[in-house]
Amino acid sequence: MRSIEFGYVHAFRGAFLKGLREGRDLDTFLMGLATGVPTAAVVAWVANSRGDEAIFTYLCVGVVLFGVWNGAAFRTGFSLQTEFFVGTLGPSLLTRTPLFVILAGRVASDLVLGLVAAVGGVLTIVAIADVPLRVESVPLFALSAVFGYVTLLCLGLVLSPLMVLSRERSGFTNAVRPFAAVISGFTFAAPVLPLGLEVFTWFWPTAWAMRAVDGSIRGAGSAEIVGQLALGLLLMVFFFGVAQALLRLVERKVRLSGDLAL
Amino acid sequence: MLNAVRSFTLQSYLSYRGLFLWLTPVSYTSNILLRPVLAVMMFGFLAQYALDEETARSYAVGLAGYSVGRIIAGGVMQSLYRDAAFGTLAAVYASPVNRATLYFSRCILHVPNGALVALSVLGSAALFLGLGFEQVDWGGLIAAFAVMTFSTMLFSLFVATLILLSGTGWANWIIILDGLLLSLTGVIIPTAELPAVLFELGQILPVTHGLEGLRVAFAGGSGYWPDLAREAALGLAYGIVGLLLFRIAEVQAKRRGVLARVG
Repeated sequence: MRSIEFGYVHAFRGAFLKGLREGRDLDTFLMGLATGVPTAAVVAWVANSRGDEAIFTYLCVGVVLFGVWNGAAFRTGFSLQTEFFVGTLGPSLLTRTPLFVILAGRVASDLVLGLVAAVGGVLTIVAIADVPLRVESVPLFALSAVFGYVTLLCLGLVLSPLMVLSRERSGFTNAVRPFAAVISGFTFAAPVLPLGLEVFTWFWPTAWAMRAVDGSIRGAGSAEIVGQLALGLLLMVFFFGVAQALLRLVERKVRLSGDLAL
Repeated sequence: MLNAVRSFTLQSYLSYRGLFLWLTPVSYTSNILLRPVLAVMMFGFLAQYALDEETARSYAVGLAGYSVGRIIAGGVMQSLYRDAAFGTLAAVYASPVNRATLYFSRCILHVPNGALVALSVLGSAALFLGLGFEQVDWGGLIAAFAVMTFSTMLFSLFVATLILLSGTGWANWIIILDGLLLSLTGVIIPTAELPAVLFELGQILPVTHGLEGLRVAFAGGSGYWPDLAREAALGLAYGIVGLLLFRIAEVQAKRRGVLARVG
């Protein structure tokens, strides 16, 4: 039992390092910047026009997470597509390590690489905007922002099997990426959404993280913020479960059909 | 003459069917319908949150121009790129087909996609942001979209030819172009507010002048023709330069014996 668990750690580490190695070239770096900078410029300009410190601070966090999500989701989708093309997903399925562990390592590396877009976004904001940051509760703000980042790992994990199961991966990514960005509330606080759309945010962990970010900026009560984070955490656990179930489905389909091009 | 029209029609149809991979139901729906609508939500709600409702509606008009440019660019660039990547361009190069017919046939069937995207954006803006159409000069609005579609098609062919010449993949180029269209053409940030270098760069991008004309037509004004003329002239220039580069790409490909790309 212990050796299997240790093997899982090895597999996670291997997948993580493989992902980092593959994305460690200048091309990926520049594309990361190209993904994050224009949106950050637009958002920074809008925030600057208003000059509201609280809104500006919220949008700074949103732009960072948006950059990470955009870069990571794009990379997750295309790295899996590449694995299909070059046939490296097959050996992963032959090992005793669950696909969940391997893809978790992969998504974790995608999120780290996604930070390039985030850094590009932050530098753009600093260059454009001259509004000071304002946070009422720094510890809760930091906790909420980091939690928002972690929720992206969870969403990436759900996205992975869906990408594998989807026959039309580029079309799927093009719809999921912006949809997730909208309901996560990266560029506006969730209550701005019409009720029909706000309902989606109740079931989305990143949206709760962004609510907590908003609360910590505006000085909401600690209990309220902790409650929002707890709800987000519960949803994350649920999403991890969904990801695991979907990945088992992928494995079973592949083993039964013997066909990686599902 | 009839043969030329027949050749152009046939090539347009075959290249569109074979090389535009967003033509499947899921991809088409997500790119033509969902993505533009989600762009309206993202930036429209951003404006409602940070600024006001009127600005949100103004952004929506800009996003209509941007989204048309984006779908045309994505479609045309991938079609010409895949013409080389899938090996079909090499076969056509071996034929005596007119090169201008070959070149321009790669973009023409993308026109309806631009029209559908414009409808998606304006419809969703009316639904979510309360965009009204009472003052619109419809002739000007249709002319603005038509001219932006024209200029973006020719600009996209030009960029796709640069991709052929450089031997790079198209996906990176569309990410860069997407960013340029969003940030430098006046969709959200007024071009007058841009630093000088970026302002000048925006002036030679498609959509910039067409969008100014579109905004005038949307407000019910009639002075949109100078902007639309500039947009059309820009497109025409890209068409001529792009065709010349395409001929150079062919000569280069034949000399080096390299054309097909991975992807």
